[in-house]
Amino acid sequence: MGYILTQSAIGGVVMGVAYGIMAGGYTMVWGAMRVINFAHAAFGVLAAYAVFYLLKVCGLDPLLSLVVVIPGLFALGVIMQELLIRPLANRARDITSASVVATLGVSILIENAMLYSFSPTPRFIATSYSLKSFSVLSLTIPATYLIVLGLGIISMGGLSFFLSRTRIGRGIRAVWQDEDGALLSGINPSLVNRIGYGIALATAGIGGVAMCLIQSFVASAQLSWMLLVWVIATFGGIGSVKGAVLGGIAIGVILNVGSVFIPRAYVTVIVYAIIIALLLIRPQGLFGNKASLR
Amino acid sequence: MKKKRQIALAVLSATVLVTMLISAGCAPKEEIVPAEEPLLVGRTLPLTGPYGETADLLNKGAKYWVERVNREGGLLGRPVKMILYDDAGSPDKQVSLLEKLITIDKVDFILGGYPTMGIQNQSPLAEKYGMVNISLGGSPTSFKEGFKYCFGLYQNAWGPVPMFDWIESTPEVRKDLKTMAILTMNNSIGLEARETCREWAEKMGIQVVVDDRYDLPLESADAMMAKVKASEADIFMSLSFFDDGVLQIRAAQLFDYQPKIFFQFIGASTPAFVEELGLVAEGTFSHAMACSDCSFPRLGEIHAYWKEHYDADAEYAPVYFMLGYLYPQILQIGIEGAGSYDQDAIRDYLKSHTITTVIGDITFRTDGWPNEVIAFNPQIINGNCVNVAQPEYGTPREPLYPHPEW
Repeated sequence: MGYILTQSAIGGVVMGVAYGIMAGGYTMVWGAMRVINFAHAAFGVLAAYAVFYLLKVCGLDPLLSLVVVIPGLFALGVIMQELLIRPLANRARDITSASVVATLGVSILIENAMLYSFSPTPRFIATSYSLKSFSVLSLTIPATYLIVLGLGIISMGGLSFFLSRTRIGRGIRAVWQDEDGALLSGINPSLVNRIGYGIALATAGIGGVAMCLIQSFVASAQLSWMLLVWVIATFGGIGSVKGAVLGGIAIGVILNVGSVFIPRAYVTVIVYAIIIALLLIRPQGLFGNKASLR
Repeated sequence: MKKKRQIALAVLSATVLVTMLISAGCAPKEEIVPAEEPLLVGRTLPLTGPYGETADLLNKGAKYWVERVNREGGLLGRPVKMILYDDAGSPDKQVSLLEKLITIDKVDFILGGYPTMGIQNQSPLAEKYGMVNISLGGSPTSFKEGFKYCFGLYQNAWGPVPMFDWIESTPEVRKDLKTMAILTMNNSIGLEARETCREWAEKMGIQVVVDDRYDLPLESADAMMAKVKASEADIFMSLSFFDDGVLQIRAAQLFDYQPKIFFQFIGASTPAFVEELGLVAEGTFSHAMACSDCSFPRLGEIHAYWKEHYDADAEYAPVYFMLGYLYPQILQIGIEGAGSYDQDAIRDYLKSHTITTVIGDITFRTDGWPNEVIAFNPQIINGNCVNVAQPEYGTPREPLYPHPEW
């Protein structure tokens, strides 16, 4: 039993890190701009397809494809901010509610475009290291697990550094706390929002790359990925990148270890039950603050 | 004003009259149909999605049947044209597209859906329109409420039976196997086969040490494989389709879990399985409702066609290609036997005669199921999915046992 629990927990940590990468950018946008982007995971799946076809057609390794995925998704984020979010913010009385509806529509558009272009057949990424693993004290550590952990450390570490140590990152946080005050301080909220949104979708792309290294994917997976990203962001606390990563790990471990005891098909029930309980006790999530509940 | 009203009334009357005349001209007449007007056969298949691999083979088999029947003079003198829609495995599309085929495309005949859930969704519609519906069958509940027009050939629960039969009747194998791990896709196909596995395990005194269920599409098998690896089960039953089956095998390789017997339910009998996995596929047991290397009528021609058009290196056509040919073949036998295109006459003929097909002789019961269980025991040997250990169907090969190392 010790082996099963430990092995499952390891898989859960890795899966959680992959989801946490996606949730990091998502929660940043939610916290800073009050925008709930339900198309966030759809962009992650899009990135996974980009990896698949770059590997299939050009033989480009998934990690090298980040060179295409990151700037590509960043650009899409800026475009989405300019064409959808900013006009919504200017017109809608409640940007949060309006963004849910609008981005849900975008996610359905993207999903159907992917279905049409790539078909609903599940895809897996097969590289030279996909089946390589290491044995540590009778535990199996696949090479792809180590790669995803590395991606998580670099991307989330980079995001935290960006938010706390760079001018634009501090600007995003300033806008989050008080947009008018930020404006008076000489911060350009529009520019900050554009960059923030671009970074958010770029992290969705990195998350998509991480996910496709450890599991198969299909266009319709965007909804199940999005639900978990949303759960993780809520669990970790809105606006908290640290919360997103730790929340992701916690949820991943619960899912994997839970499936040791009950069928995998039913284990997500446990996750949602935990979220409901948490929200009743601590509605701001583990690392969020009460201001984020505005 | 009065004059304008009179003019309007006149125009309206003329319009109605002209419309009636045109409609009368277009009304269906009971005419003799020219011989060259094709018979339309309609179906839906999940060509995309998790069932795409096997559905594609069913489609190819049916296309071969169309080509062949037209070459041999058609059905009672009329050529055949097939209309196919991709339902992507979606229940909504399975029903709406079949209804479209019947009511808008006005097909003369239909073929059954795929997989089991598709058949269950479409059977009521076929029954409603009184159209003979020949399909895999899949589940005892596929033909609910005593449907009269539906015919099935195979039940999911039969799948692992021939392999278990062989294990039970081979003492040196039987005593070597103590434990079983079952990973099941959470739908009627997987769950019915799972019941069979549990029944046979109990019958043979084999302990089921892992029994897990998952929803499709399966994204990762790693967590479940950790349990299976820890159990070191002798028998690994992967009650899966193609994609999830491949994921499970890869996870088994990754975690270095080596079963003595490996059974993969649906997918192992497709060429894509060997293409995807290469030597790793060797020794995989599977299920089949048709026997590649048995000597049934016209099988040689089917294998030759497959080799010529799809894979020159293959020894046999894939089982699902044979099945794709089989369903319309049964329809053809019904039409030619009844000497009519009438659905009731075809149905009655099929239920009152033993028919000879590419999978052998079939006698249908009044409930639309065959009189005898039709299930074969294929295993992948030298890259081909061939019949093993069933001497009653020809000369079987010796099974590979234990499962070769990955």
